[in-house]
Amino acid sequence: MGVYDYHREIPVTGPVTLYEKMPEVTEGNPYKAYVEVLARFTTDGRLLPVSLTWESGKSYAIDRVSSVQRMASRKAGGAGICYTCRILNHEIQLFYEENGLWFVTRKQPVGS
Amino acid sequence: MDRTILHSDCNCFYASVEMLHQPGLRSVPMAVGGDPEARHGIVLTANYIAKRRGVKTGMALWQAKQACPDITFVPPRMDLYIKFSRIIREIYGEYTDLVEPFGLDEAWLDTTDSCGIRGGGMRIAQEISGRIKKEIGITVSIGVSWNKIYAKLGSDYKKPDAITEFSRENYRDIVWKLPVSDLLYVGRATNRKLCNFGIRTIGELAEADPEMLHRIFGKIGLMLSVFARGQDRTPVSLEHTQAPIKSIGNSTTTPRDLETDEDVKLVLYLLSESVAKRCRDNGFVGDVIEIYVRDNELFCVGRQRKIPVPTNISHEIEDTAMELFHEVYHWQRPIRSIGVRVADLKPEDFPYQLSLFQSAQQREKLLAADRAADDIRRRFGYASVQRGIMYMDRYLSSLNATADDHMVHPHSYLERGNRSGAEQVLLGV
Repeated sequence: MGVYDYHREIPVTGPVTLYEKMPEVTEGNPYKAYVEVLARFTTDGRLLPVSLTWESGKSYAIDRVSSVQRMASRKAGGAGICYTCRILNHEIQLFYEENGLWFVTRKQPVGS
Repeated sequence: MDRTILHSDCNCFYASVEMLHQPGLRSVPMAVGGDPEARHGIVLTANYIAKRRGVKTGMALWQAKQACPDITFVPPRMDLYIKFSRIIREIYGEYTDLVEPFGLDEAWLDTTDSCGIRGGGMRIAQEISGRIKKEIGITVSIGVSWNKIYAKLGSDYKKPDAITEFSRENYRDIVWKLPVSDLLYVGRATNRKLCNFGIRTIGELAEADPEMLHRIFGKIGLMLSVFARGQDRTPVSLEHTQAPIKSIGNSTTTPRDLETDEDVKLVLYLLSESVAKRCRDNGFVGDVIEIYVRDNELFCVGRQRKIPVPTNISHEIEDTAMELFHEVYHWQRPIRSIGVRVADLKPEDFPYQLSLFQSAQQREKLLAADRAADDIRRRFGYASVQRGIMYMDRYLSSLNATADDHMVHPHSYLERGNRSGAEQVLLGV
C-alpha cells in the first residue's frame, strides 16, 4: 500500500515541535487542559507525578497519589493513565496520554 | 468439550476514537475519511447518526455528502487508532493468550481455559465490555459461542454496546433464522447461487445436503456447511503469531490519473523498487510477477506471469511488470490505481536452474546496485538517490512507497489455510 506524502506542514503549537509530541487534539475540547508536570521515576521503574503547573504559572505540589489506573475521560475527551492525586485537600484526576503529555479536566469550559 | 469463544468488535472504531477525543462530534453526523484532494476520498467509518441517515463505509465523500448534507468529515489518524487497538489487545491479553486479531478493531478470544477462574464466557464478555468502556472510552459488541463463526455472528447481531450469546440451546432459533449472506465467505456471488437452490437462511444451508454443496461449490461448499451447522473447528491463533508471508505487493491510487506509458512506467518503477526492497529485506525471491490496473471508472484488470528465474532485483520486476502492462491494458481509459506483486516466494538461497539466455554475472551486478542504493537510502534518506525517470514528473514521483506505518490490512479467515475440519466432520476422513 503506497501512500502519497504531500509534505504537509505540521502546525506548531507552543514549544512542542516533534510530531509524536503533538497533543492528540488541539481544538474543540473546551474541558481539556494540557498542563506542565514534574514527575519522578522510582527505582522500580514507576512514573509518579510530583507537581503540576497550571496555566496561570502557579505550581501545585501533589501531596499523595491514591490510585493509578487506565481510564478514559469523556468530558475532557481523551484517554490515558489516570493518576488520582490530592492537591491542597482536593482530589484531582491527572491523565498521562503516554505521548509525553498530561491533561486535566477543566471545571469551567474554556472561553466561558 | 465445547470451547468458549468470544468475538469482540469495536463499534465504528475510527469514529468512536475521534468522538472520544472531540466531544463536539458526538452529537452530529460524522465520518472518518481520507483527504478528498488527495483522492483517497472514501468514508472509512461513519458514526451511528450518519449511518442512520444512509452513510455507508466505502462511499465516496461526495456520495456521503449527498446522503447527509450536514456531515462532518475528519481526516484519519492511523497512529492513534493503532495505539488504541494495541491497548485494547492488552486488555484481551489479561483473559487469554489465544487472541487472534481480525483487522484493527475485531478479535477472537478463546477463553475455554480461563472460564474456570473468571467464571464463564458471558461473565468475561461483560467484564471486557465494561473495562473497555471505562478505560478506553469506546464501546464494543461481543458475541459468545462455541465456535468462531457463531461468535462473529453474535457480535454482529446486536450493536452497539451489546453482548449476545449463542448457545447449544438457542442457536436453532436465532442463528438459523439469519440470512445466509451474514455468514463469513458468503459474498454476493455465493449468495446468488445459494438463492437459486432455494437456500436463503443459515438454517436452510445447515440442513442442505453437504454432498450437494460439495458438488456445487467444491471444497468451499463443505466448509460453508460446517460453518452454518456450528461445527467449525478453526482454532483461535496464539497472540503475536503471524501467518507466513505468501506474497509481497504494493499498490497505490495516484494523485492524478495516469494517461501515458511514461506515467505508468514511472509509477511501476517506484512500486517495483519498493516491492523488490521488501523482498530483499525479508530474504525472499519470487518467480511470479503480477500486476493490477484499475481505470478511472473503477474497472479492474490483472495479470500474472511465471518468470524463469526467481528474482528480487528491481530491474527485472520492473521489466516484467511493464511487459504485463502492455499485454493487459490498451488505454481505453486513464488509470486511477495500479499495483505490483511478487508471489510464489522462496528463500533467497533457494537453488535454481541458471538460464542459458541470462548472464548470471550481469544479475549479480544488478543486485549489487540495488543493495548499494538500499544502503545509501538507509543512511541518507529515501530521496537521496533516485532514478532519472522520477524527474519526468515530480508530482507523481512524490509517492512515498515505503510508508510502512500505513500497513493496516484485514487478514483473511483462511490465511493459515482451511482449518475448519470440514472434511473430518462431514466425510469422516
